[in-house]
Amino acid sequence: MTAMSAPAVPAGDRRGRAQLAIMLLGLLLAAVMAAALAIGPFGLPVGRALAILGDWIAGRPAADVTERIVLIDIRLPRMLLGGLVGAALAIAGAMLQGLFRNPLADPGLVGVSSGAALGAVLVIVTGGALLGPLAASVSIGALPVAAFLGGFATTLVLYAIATRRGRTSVATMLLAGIALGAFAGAVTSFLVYRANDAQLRELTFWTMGSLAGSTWLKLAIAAPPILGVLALTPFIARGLDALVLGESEARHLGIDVERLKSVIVFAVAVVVGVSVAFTGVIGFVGIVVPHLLRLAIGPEHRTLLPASALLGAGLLIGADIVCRMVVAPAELPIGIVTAIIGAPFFVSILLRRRGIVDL
Amino acid sequence: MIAAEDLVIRAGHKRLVDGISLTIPPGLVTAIIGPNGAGKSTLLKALTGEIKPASGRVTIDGTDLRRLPLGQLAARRAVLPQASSLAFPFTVHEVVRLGAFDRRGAGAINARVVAALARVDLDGFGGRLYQELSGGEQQRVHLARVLCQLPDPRPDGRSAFLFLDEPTASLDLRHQLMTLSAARDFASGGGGVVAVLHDMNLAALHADRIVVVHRGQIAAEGTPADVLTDALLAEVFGVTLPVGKTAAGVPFILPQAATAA
Repeated sequence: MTAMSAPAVPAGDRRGRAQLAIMLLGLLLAAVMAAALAIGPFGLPVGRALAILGDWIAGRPAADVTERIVLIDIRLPRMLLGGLVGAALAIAGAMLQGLFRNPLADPGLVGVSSGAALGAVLVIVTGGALLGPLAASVSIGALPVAAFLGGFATTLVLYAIATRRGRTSVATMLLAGIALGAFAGAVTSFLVYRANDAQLRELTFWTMGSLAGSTWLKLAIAAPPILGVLALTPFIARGLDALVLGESEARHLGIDVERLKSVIVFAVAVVVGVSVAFTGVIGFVGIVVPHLLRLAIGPEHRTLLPASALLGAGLLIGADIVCRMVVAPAELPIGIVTAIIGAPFFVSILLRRRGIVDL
Repeated sequence: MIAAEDLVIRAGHKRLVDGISLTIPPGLVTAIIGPNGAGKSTLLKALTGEIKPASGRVTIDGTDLRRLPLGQLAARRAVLPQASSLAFPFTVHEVVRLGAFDRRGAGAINARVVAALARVDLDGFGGRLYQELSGGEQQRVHLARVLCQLPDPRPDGRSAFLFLDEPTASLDLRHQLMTLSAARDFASGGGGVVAVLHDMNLAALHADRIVVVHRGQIAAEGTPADVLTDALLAEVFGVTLPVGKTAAGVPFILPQAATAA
């Protein structure tokens, strides 16, 4: 073929690099997923795990029933739910940061997750009283709805407090988020301590999170809304980019800013609500993942959002492997691992941007 | 043509814009001048459709601006804001590309971005991070973004309009002239330009038409030579100052000659 000189990529255009990074992140995610199936107190080499998986998918009888139960009923739904929730939290962080125009907004830090947790706990507590024996089966469907409502209300209040005339005050947002989170957390803790309900799990689940209770049923409930929001992200990417310039500027570029903001608040509340309902409050994923990716591939949302989903999924699945292994046969709450990774990131962003926070 | 009819804009009980009617014709550079707090920025926001007037309306070729879908409006009018900061590390190329919203191929859009950067004297700045630039350079990046939004002053045979809010505020002399010459090119190509300017000499030199806003109303309107008079400066700006004229008849103002009224 004659070598036509392809038009050179102009300086500052990082889309090619971003697409390459997305492919690499996809490979990384696949590797972490395989590791999550193989690693655990019950040893199962990767090749063996994949063989069992292949048998199961093809509908062949299990060679070893115990191995199949460990893989298909325990590790596989846990790995998939972890991946979904990791992707959900990472894109929720990226979207909130775009909405508030600053890189410190994280659903866990600004109270959205705490609001969602309060909604979920309220359903468990009041649902038990109102519905009696039916509660268990009803509440697994009602949980994510209540968590969504709690997260939605918190996000709306936060936005109303922190944004005046299209400008967001970073300091107000963080402080209001802390206050909202503390309040929702306190009410949640009160309800958990007071409740005398067997199915109300311990407080650490709602403050530190865990993937331990993953089941196929929870996965089936969580997957459609999270995948739905993931599918929506290409349509809001340009709007989020324009919003970085400011609300008036975005409107001048032809973006319906009011509608965009409603969509973002709704989408964040959906994915955070579903995640919190089934895995509790897991912090810092939403801050670490988009921050790292902005450094690597730039802040354009049409590549940042899919890359965040992939890296968030990989990060949470990887963190869960650590949780299951470090104190085996017991388990660490996964929020401990994400906080240990995430808190230093938060501080480093804060230090670099001290002037902007302006306290 | 953009036309404002009997615009009134209130903030509380105060009338920021008090019954202004104005047309913005294509092919001309219109400068809006006036003292601080006269209502220039508010008027500009109403003309661009950013704020809704309490009464009156703004039309573009007869259609109410606020009824036009935002995407269609964005294809016909662009607004250069006063310099703003960005929260995330965008490169200059990426900021300018935000202006190119139509669905053309990446190659065509990149070419348009590169051309816009060259127009504002920022060749080779595409790969730099926006945050690392000086205030004047950032201002020019936004000018490039706006030119990228309206690469053609007459898209589909109808005039487009460029609104510039104090476009020269943080620029050195060379780039003040460059900015106004870009505005002139846009008008010569058949588009309309409106610029809020503080420097009356730049307005006199580069505008075809000057609109003087004072206390929410239009105090004077016309060619620079007609509008910029000793009497107007005394009445509107409160300075007693003789207006000079160049050999070509362009008025100029030397602040050194001023005595406060």
